[in-house]
Amino acid sequence: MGLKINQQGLPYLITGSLVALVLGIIVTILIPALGEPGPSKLARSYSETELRGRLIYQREGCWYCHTQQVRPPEVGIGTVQVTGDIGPETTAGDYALQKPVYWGTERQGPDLSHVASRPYGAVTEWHILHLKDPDLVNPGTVMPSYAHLPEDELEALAAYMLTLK
Amino acid sequence: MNILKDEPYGTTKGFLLSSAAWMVAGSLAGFIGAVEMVAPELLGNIPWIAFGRIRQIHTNLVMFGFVGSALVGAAHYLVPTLLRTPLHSERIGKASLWSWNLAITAGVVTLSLGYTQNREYAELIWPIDIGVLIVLALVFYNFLQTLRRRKENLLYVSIWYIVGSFVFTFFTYFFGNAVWNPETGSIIGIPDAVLAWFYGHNIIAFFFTTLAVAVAYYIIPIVARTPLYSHTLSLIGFWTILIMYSHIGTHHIIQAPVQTWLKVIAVTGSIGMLIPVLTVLVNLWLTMRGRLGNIHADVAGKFVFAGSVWYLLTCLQGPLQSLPSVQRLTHFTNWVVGHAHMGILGFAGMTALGGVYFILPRVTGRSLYSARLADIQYWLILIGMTGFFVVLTTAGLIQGNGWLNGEVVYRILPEIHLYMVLRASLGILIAGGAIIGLYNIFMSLYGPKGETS
Repeated sequence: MGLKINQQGLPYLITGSLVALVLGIIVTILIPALGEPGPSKLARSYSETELRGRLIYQREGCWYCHTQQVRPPEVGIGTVQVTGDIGPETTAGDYALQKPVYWGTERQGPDLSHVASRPYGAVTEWHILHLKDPDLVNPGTVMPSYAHLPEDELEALAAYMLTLK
Repeated sequence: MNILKDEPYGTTKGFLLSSAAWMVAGSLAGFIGAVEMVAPELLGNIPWIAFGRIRQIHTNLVMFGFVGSALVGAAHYLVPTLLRTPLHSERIGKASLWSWNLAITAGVVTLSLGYTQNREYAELIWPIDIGVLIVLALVFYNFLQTLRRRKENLLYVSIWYIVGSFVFTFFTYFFGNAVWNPETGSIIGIPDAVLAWFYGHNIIAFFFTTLAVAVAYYIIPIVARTPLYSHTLSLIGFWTILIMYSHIGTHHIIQAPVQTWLKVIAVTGSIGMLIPVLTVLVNLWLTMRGRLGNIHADVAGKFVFAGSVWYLLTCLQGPLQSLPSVQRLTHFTNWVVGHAHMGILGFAGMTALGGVYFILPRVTGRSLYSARLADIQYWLILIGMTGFFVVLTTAGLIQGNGWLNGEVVYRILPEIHLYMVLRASLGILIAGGAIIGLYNIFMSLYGPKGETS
C-alpha cells in the first residue's frame, strides 16, 4: 500500500502539507485571537520616552533574563526582595497593548511584571544606579553593568521600568 | 572566480562547508554567553557581546547557520540522488547558498549592533527575513523542478519529508515573523505571544526535525546495508507529525494567560507526538536490528544513531514537560535550556553531522580527509552534549525548587554557579569539536587529493 501512494504522491504531499499548516494556523492562531479580552487596568499605552525605553530594553535583550509573567504557582511565593513580593498573577488584558510582549524565556534575574510596585521600584534614581552597577545593589548577580549607556538612554529605560506596575 | 559556477553537487559542498564554519562561530558565541553566566565582568562589558545580544547570536547561528546549512546542503544531495536526476539548477542552488550565508552574516552583524525583533528564534530584522524567505523559495523551486523531471517515479520517504519541510518552513517563517509588519515583526498582545510560539515551535518541527528525519531515513538503511523496515510505518510517521506538531506551539506558554482550550490542544497534541516520534524510531531501529556493528563502523552512521537516541530522549522529555504539573517546576529554568540543546545539538545537530560525513565522500569522490578526526569530533560532542543535559537539568531543578520555595531569584545564582562553570567547560568540548570538524571538512573538500573512494 505504501509504495502505491508513493508513486503518485507529489500532489497529495503538497496539498496535505498545506492543509495541515492551514489547519494549524486557523485553530491555534486565528480562533484564539478572536476571543482575546480588551485591555485590563494594568495595560497602558506608552509616552514617547517610555516607548524609547521599551525599545532600549528590546535592543539590549533584557527579556532573555527577565521575565514579565507572574505564573499561577508562584503567586504569593515568588520573591524578588521580600517573601512573596512577585505580585499578582498577570492577566491577558495586561498585555493587550504590547507589541511584542516580553514574557521572557530563561529567568536569571527577577520577574519585572510589577517592578514599579515594589519598594525602590518606583524610584528613577534607583533604577539608574542599578543599571550602572548591578553588583552594588545585588551582590553576586550575573547582570552586566550598563554604565556605558548615555544618561538619556538610562533615563528612558528607567521611565519604561516605572510603567511596570 | 565565478561564485555561481555550475559543478555537480557544488551547492551541497558549499552548504556543508558553511555549516562547519557557522558551527564554530555559533558554538563560540554560546561559549561567550556561558562565560558571562559565570563571570559577568570578565569580558569587560563589550556591548555587542553582552549576554542579551550574544544569546540571540548563538541561537540563530547554531540553528540556521550550523544545523540549517547542513540539512539544506544534505537535502541538495538527497533530492537528486533519490530521484536519479541531476539538480534542476546548480546555479540557482549557488544563488541560494550565497544568499543564505549573506543573510546569516547580516544577522550576526545586526544582532550584535542591537537590531532585533526580540521574539525567540524570530529576532532577525525584516530585510533579513525577506532574504531568508527568498532562499527558502529558491530552494523549493529548485527541488520542485527536479521533481518534475525526475527519472525515478517512486518517491522515497526522505523526499516526502523534504517537500513537507519546505512547504511548512516557508509559511511558518512568513507568518511567524509577521512580515507584513516590517517595523516590529509582531502583532499585538497575547495573540502575538501565541503566534511567536507557533513560529518558535514549528521552525524546530518543520525545518530541523523533519529534515533531520529525512537524512536519518536515507542514511540508516544504506549504512546498515538492508532495506528500510517498513514504508507504511514511515508514512504514518510523516502524516501524524504534520497534524500533531503544527498544533502544539502553545505548550511553551502553558502557564500564561492563554485560553484554556488552546492549552488543552497543546498538551494533548504534545502527548500525541509520541506517535510520530516512536514510529520513526521503531522504523529506524528495526532497520538496524542486529546490524549495530555496521552502523558503528561508519562515523556517519554513529552520528545518526546518536542523533536518534537524542531524538528519543528529547521527545520523551518534551511531552512530559508540556504537562502543567511538571512545567510549574521546569518553566523559565535551565532545564528548558538543556532541552533545547538536546533537540538542536543532540538530535538535529548530530544527525546533520552524520549527513555531512556521509555525503562528503560521495560528492568529492574520495574518502574523508580523516575518519579519526571525525570520530574525535563525535566523542567530543557526545560527551559535551551528555554533560549539558545533566548539568543544565540539575541547575534547572535547583532554580525551579528555589523559586517555588520563595527564594530570591538572584540569590539562587550562587547555588547553580558550579553547574554554570561545568556548562562553560563542556562548551569547550563542543567548540573544540566544531573547530576539528571545520578543519576536517575543509581538508576533505579542498585538501591534497588522497585515495579515491
